[in-house]
Amino acid sequence: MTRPTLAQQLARQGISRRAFLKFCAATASMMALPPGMAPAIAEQLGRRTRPSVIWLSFQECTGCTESLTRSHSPTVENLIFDLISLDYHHTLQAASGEAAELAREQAMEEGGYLVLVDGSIPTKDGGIHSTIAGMTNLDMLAHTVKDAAAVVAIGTCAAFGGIPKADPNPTGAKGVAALMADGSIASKPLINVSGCPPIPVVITGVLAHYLTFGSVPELDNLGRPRAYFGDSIHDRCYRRPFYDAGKFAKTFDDEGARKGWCLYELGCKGPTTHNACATAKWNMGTSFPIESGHGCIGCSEPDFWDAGSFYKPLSAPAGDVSGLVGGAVAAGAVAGAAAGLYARSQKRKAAASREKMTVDDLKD
Amino acid sequence: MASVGGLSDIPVVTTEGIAPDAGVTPAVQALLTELAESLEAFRRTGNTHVIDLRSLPIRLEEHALLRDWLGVGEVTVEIDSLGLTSIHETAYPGIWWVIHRNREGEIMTQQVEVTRCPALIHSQPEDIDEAAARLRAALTHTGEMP
Repeated sequence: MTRPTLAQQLARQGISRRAFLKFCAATASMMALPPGMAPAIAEQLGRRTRPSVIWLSFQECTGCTESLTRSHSPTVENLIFDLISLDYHHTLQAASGEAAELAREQAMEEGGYLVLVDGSIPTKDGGIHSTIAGMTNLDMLAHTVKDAAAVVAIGTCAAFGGIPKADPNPTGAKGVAALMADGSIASKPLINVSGCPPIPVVITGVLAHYLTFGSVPELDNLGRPRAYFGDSIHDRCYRRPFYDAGKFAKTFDDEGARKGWCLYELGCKGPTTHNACATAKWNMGTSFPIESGHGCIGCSEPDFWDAGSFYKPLSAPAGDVSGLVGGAVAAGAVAGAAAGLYARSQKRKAAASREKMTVDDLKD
Repeated sequence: MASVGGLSDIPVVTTEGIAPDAGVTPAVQALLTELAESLEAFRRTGNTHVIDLRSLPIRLEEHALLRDWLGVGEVTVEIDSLGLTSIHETAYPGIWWVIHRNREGEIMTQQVEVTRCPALIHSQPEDIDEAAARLRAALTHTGEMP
């Protein structure tokens, strides 16, 4: 049985061509493509058949699903799901138990489906630390990825291991890329949409790109789409003029903080974090952490949870350096360089033996 | 590769920009200049142009500044299609302002189009095909011709 094209599918649902063109204009905008491309997107999308999508949730907090269901342009209940045909998703699907697993197997029969993964995959003790229907996450992922066309790792847990991977990583948690690299699962085209959670419009934008072009978008060295992860937060931050002018908030309630000055000294990880928060923002473009007065915590980067305090500046060492550089750490290029070198070795050590955050960190 | 003798040998072309206005920010001024050039290019070549405001690193207040500066012309169109899309011709015919909203009324994107008429306003060939069949079926069903 040949599947209907997307255009045919939409027409049957009473969605006019005009509505479809409007959707494509919004999609082009979401994918950060030139708006003049909307007619070409309509042409391409209209001709494609509705692909199957299997969403696998593993060691996750459901935050990524929550983020996706907050996606607003277009709304998830409407076109995107009509277009991508979500055949299997624990939280959103109506079926449960054996009926749900049967739906997954049926969706897989035709091959060429898209696999979306959120949550990390435990590998210790044979992967027994997270199972679904008696099957370990690792076995389910290996089985499902085998005939997939492509895989999208949604969220920092699926992309890089995330919070379950934080030291001491009791379950042996790994991201999808790591499992492809060590041969535990088949190697397939992989898109990492990292973030804790990722911005909703980034998730749907990546899906829209795949639907339209049938291919993986241009990726950075960590497998993340360049359209959304190409710039650092620092590069697009509206508080950058204050950074450039040397105006920093020193505490969360001082005059600088009230005036909206740069949060570098309060631990902002913007300079080393790549994501679309500063442009796409959160909650329908309302705001993002820095705009709300809190520094970036670097949640779209690997091992962000083990990278030292969220409240110590990037230039400051992660540990006690009073013996080495005589106290005044932030001042002076020499002290800064020495501190930087020390910080790097301390961060390696911190990753090995996780630093617990104390009340003192908040007092800095 | 042609070599340039010195800085003074590099040809300089000046174009008339929009005169600086007390209430217009540099970003808005740049967009207005882009629109002026696009409108002139459209007159010469017929090439349309679209600016997607959502993709630009400008503030929401600057969207409003640009919209107010361009003003409202003779035509306003409301399209009820998967949510409301509002289109109006600005005070400069050929420059149209488009706001796409979803079914929750949230703005998905705002665009400025340089064209005779935005494509979304036209009836689409596929919809016309479907309408012709539907109208014929409805007439046959009533059993009488008007």
